[in-house]
Amino acid sequence: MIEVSGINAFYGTSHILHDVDIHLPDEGRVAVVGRNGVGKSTLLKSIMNAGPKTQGEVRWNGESITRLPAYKRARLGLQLVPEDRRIYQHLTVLENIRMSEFASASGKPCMTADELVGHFPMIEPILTRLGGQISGGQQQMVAVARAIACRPRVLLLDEPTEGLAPAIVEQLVENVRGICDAEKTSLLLCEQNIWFARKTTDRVYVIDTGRIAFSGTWDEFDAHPEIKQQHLAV
Amino acid sequence: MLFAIINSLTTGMAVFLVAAGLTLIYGVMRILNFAHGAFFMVGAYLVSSMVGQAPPSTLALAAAAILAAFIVGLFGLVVQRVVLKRVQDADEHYMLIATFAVMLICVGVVKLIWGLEFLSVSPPPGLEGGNMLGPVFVPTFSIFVIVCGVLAFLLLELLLQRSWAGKMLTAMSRDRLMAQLMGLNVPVWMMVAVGCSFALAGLAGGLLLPNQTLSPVLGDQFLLMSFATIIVGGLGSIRGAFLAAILLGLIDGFNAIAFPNIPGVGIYIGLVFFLLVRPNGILGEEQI
Repeated sequence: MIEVSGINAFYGTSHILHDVDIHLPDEGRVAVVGRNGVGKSTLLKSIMNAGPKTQGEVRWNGESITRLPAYKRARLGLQLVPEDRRIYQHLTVLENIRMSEFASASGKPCMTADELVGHFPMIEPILTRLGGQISGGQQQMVAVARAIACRPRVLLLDEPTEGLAPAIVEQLVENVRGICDAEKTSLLLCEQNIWFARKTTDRVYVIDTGRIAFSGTWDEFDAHPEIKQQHLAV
Repeated sequence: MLFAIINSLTTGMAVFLVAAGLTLIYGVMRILNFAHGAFFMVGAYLVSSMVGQAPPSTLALAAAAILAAFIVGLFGLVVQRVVLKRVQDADEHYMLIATFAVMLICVGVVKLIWGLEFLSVSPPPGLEGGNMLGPVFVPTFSIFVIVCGVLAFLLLELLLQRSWAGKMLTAMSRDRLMAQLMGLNVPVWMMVAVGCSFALAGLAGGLLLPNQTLSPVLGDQFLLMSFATIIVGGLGSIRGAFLAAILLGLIDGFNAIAFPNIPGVGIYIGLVFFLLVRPNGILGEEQI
């Protein structure tokens, strides 16, 4: 589905990603784990062409989309939920979600509010509230709901558990799995929370200082405890 | 006193009509557009060519102003395409120099087409003369300008705050990156915003044409006042620009009465005062 090959990413003169290769298969669920500041967010933003300067190639179903601007990638069916959520404060929750209609891919109808509430019961009581008036946990739910509202093919989640209470993190596991099952959405997740990553994905990449240090299934990850020690321990 | 207030409001609303477009383009694109005054002037010249020095009717003036708005809006699209787009991600200084260059070119073209001599256009029948408001004589054209200013403000507020397109424009100005991630065709929305901003300049030029002395320096006068207005109001805030236009208009009116031998100084003293007290502008935290 998405094939990232030899991506180098830069912010100004600082070289963040070094020859990163990532493969996300159709309906695959892949986690990228790593410490703070190793380039996880930069990787997702590079895939969306939203921010960093990049070299290398991003392919979508075998076709290169390296030159496409971010909004066109969104319209292909790529939805990124940024780690800072970026809910529009001056719009209501429903309006925030309605915005995703711009990304509606190839005429597939977006989810109705009811359908969305089915996936995220938590957002029902806050639909008419302004984005600036909801809690951090609610913002995260709205950010994910907004991203899936137009049935993207691929969901890119950037540290969705950051700053969330444990109960909400558990809730989010159910939400994310439920959506990916129901909509056959592929998932590329960047996380520091290994527990959450393991619950929601099948394969894992470990990234350290901009380079891929390991890739494999979670069983293979567990078979090499030194990886955790070397690249993830704080 | 009432006469002075009405005069001040007239100045204020005239400046607001120009400043609205200036603050809109800043709000959406973070551009300080030095060429705004020049395009205001182009609007005025276009309308003067359309209606002549004695406009036949208010309707003709308004229609010509709207047509001028449309034409200047198109110029805006060209400027966006040719100039602004290339420098939008560059340092602010480049943007300033680029729009300054556009201004110089624009003024030069105006001189080539319309010449250097001063032109004046009288108000159309219906807007000339005045009315007695109690004991005070109020020029009809003043009332026209005030009504236009308030209408423009209400319309812009309504469009930006209530309409879906306005909300999207505001969203794009607050967080362009997220707008792209949501699939908004940001370059096209930018074009719309720039087009609207320039069209506002052209419209203002047309509406304010009567009672002005039309010359190639007309743009500069209004540009300075407009910059003062949007700085005091808070860059990018329409509401702020509206309030600041009234405030600066009043200050200017007071200046004209109290210190008639140093006209125009009050505005700058006011500007300095507000910069010291509210460096981000009256409504600096609000956007658009």
